[in-house]
Amino acid sequence: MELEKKVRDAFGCVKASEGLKESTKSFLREAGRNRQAHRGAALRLATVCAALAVFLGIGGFAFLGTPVAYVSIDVNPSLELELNRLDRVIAVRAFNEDGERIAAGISVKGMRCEDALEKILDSREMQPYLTQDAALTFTVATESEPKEAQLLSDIARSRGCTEHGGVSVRADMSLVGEAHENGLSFGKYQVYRLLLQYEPTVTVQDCHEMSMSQMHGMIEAHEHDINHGEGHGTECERKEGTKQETQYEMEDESSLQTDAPAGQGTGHHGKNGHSRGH
Amino acid sequence: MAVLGRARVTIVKRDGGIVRSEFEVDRAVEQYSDMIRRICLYQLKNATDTEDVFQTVFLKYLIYPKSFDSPEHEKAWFIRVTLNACRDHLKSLFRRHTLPLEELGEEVAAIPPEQHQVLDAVRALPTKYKDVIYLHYYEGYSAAEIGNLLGKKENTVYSLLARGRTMLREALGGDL
Repeated sequence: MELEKKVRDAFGCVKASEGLKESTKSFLREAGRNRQAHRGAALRLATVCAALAVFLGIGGFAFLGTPVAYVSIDVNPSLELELNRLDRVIAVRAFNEDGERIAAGISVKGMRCEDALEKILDSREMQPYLTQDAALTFTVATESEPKEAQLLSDIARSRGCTEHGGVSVRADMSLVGEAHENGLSFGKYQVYRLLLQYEPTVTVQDCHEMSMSQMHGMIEAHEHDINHGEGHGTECERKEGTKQETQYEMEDESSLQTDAPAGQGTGHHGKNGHSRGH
Repeated sequence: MAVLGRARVTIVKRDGGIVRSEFEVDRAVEQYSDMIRRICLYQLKNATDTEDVFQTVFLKYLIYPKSFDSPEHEKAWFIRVTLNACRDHLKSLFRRHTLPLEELGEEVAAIPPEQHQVLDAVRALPTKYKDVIYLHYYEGYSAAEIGNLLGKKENTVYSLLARGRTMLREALGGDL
């Protein structure tokens, strides 16, 4: 008998038992069910993860992409920073040509408010405006009182106030939309509203042409006249002017040291209801 | 997705992968169990590993995401996977000793005693010889086909076959 046939015959006798086949089939059916169950669980998990990712994405965007505070920077250039809940800059808006030139030259998105302000003030484009009589004004508007107090104090401590003689003041949020409708930053618009008490004929268009220094100069001139009894306005108008003045309050280092809450008239007021840093 | 009737057919997914039905897996068990049992018999050294190898091989088939080009392709896949599964088992230190067929339990009880000598002789060969002996003499593969299956050169397979045949003849007596 040949070797090949012997081997073939011998192996031909080897069969898998029915018991082995059945136990294998049974094992595979169980494995298949588990696999389907796992696949279903994986699909459910993937669905939940996807929903969560969408939710977190939308929530994250709503949380970090929505402005909750505004800081207006006005000299002659007028700029506004939009801040999110983490006080990070999410947008910069310019309201005149000088402001556009500065905004185009630097990028401050994603930066903390204080850092953004420093970068703006340090920029080469900003230097010509930071003169002794520049009337650099930082105006803060937010619905959140704690955030307002924090921003005002941060700005008052910043080099913008301590080195460049800037002031930090508050404004009502309602003023923001109104200012934008008139094409002004709300910081400048607030000064316009104050000037309007003394100069009823002044228009928004006039303010577009004027620097903050010029507007403050006019206000100071009127207040000087009132203080010396030479004002042209009625007593009622003078009171109204005083009332407006109280809305234009400042926050500087001296007020911070007394822990006085911002926006409650406890700061050291200059002639215009604000004082400059030194 | 092409779903052809009840769960008796393979479902082809959009990505080209497939989900094997219970029917198809049962068909494969019926078709290849004997072959896998033979490979286990000469490869493994004790009976308890056979069931493990069966489960391993058919589970791989269940989750194998590709379809086969032909029945021959499918058979060759089963041979390769079975040999690999057996080798994985043999790596264990506790499975070094080859037991005689008589000690392999019920699974070999159905094999006529006169065949035990040949099977024991094949089982006693080194692995590289018994693979080619089985594949050539029983499954009828050519040296070139065995080379493809095992990842060896055709000439190497010829050498292994010649040497294995000699060793087998010596083991079984000089009359072959």
